[in-house]
Amino acid sequence: MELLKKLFQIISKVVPAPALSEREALELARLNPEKFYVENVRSILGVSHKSAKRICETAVRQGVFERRIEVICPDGSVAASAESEAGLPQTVRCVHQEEQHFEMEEVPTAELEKTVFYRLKHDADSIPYGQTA
Amino acid sequence: MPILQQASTDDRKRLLELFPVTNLRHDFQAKGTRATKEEICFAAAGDNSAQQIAKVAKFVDDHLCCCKQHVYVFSQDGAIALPNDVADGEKVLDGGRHALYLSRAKYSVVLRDPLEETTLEFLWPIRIEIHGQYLVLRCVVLEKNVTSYFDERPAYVAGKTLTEKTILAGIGMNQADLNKGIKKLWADGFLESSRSNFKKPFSLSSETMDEAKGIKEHYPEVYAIMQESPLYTTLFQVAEKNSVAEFSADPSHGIIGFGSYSEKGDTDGIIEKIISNN
Repeated sequence: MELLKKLFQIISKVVPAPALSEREALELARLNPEKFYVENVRSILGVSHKSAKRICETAVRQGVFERRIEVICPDGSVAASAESEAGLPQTVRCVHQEEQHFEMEEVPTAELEKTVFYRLKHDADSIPYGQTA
Repeated sequence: MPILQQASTDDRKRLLELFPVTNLRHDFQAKGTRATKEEICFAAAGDNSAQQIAKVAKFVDDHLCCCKQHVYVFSQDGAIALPNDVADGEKVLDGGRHALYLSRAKYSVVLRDPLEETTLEFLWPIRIEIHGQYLVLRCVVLEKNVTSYFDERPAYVAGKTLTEKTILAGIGMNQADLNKGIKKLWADGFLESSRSNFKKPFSLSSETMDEAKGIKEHYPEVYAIMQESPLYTTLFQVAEKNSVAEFSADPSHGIIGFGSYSEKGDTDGIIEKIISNN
C-alpha cells in the first residue's frame, strides 16, 4: 500500500486536479508491474502524454519505478532490453519472414529503434500483479 | 552420376562449401593438417576420379542433414515411390528408402565497381526420403549473399533459373498437415514458440513475444487458442539440449526450415518426432 500512496503523491504533484478517481486507482494497480509504457499510464489517468511521462520520470527519481530501454527490430518485435542504452548488446538477432520461413539475421543495435519502458522497482513495497488497492 | 562427374571444379567446390567445415574436415582433410574451408573444398573438388566423385556424393548424402535446409513434407494414401529425377536435375544416389538428387541452378548476378553482369551456377543438393505414408523433401538453402563468390565485390542476385517452388511442383503430392505432430511436441514441452501466425475463425492472428519469451509460458490463454487453431509460419525453440536451438515451421503446409548448421542427426530427429506424433 505504501507504493500506491507514494505513486498517488507523485501523480497529485504532477497533475493536481482532478484528483485520482477510485476507478483510476484500481486501474493503476492493474498495471503489469514487470513492464508498462508511458501510454499505459496516460490512458489510465486520462492525462496528456507529457504529463504521463513526467509522472513516470518522477516515480523513477523517487525509486518507485525503474526505467529501462528496449531495442526494436525492423518488424516491430523487441529483441533485447537493458537498464540503459549502454547495457544493450552490440548486435541483436532479428527475424524476418521470407515466404513461409522465418529467417534470422544479426543486426547492429545502433541501427535500430529504441523504446523506453518502466517497471515497478523490485525492492519497492510492491503490489502483486492483478491485486487491487 | 554424370552431373557430378561433368561439373567443373568450381561447381563441385561451391557444392561442398554449402556444408559445415567440421564435417568437411572430418571427411576430406588429412589427419594432422589444418586447412581453411576454401582450401579443403578446392582440393576435394579438383579430383574428378570416379572414386572421388563417389566419395563427394556419399558425403553430400550423409551430411545434408547438417546443412541449412528447407524441408517439405507430403502425404499420400497408398504406395509412395521415390521420383526418378527432380527439376533440372538427376538422381545421384539411391538408398532404397531415400535418394539424393542434384539440380543445376543458375543465378544471374549483377556486380558493381564496375557494373557487370555474370552468372553463378550451383549444384543444388536435394534429398527425398520415404517415412511411412510421408514423403520428405529436403532442399539445402543456397547462399543468398553472393559477394563472397566475387572477392567481396558488391553483387546482387537478379534472377534464378530454378526455385524451390519449381522443384515442389514436380512432386505431384499433397502437402502434409503437421499441426497434430507439432502441437503434441509443444504440449509435451519438447518445443516452445516465441512467434507465430495462426488462424482464428474470422482473422489471421499473429503473436510475437518480446525477447523470444515463450508463448505457452507467458500467455497460456493465447497458447490455448493456438492449440485449437491452424498454425502458419511459426518459430519454435527446442527445449531440450540440441544443436538445433530453434527452427521455423508452417505446420498447415507441411513446411519446416532449419536456418543454421547443426550436428548430425539432430534435424533428422526433429523431423522424425514431428512425423511420428502426427
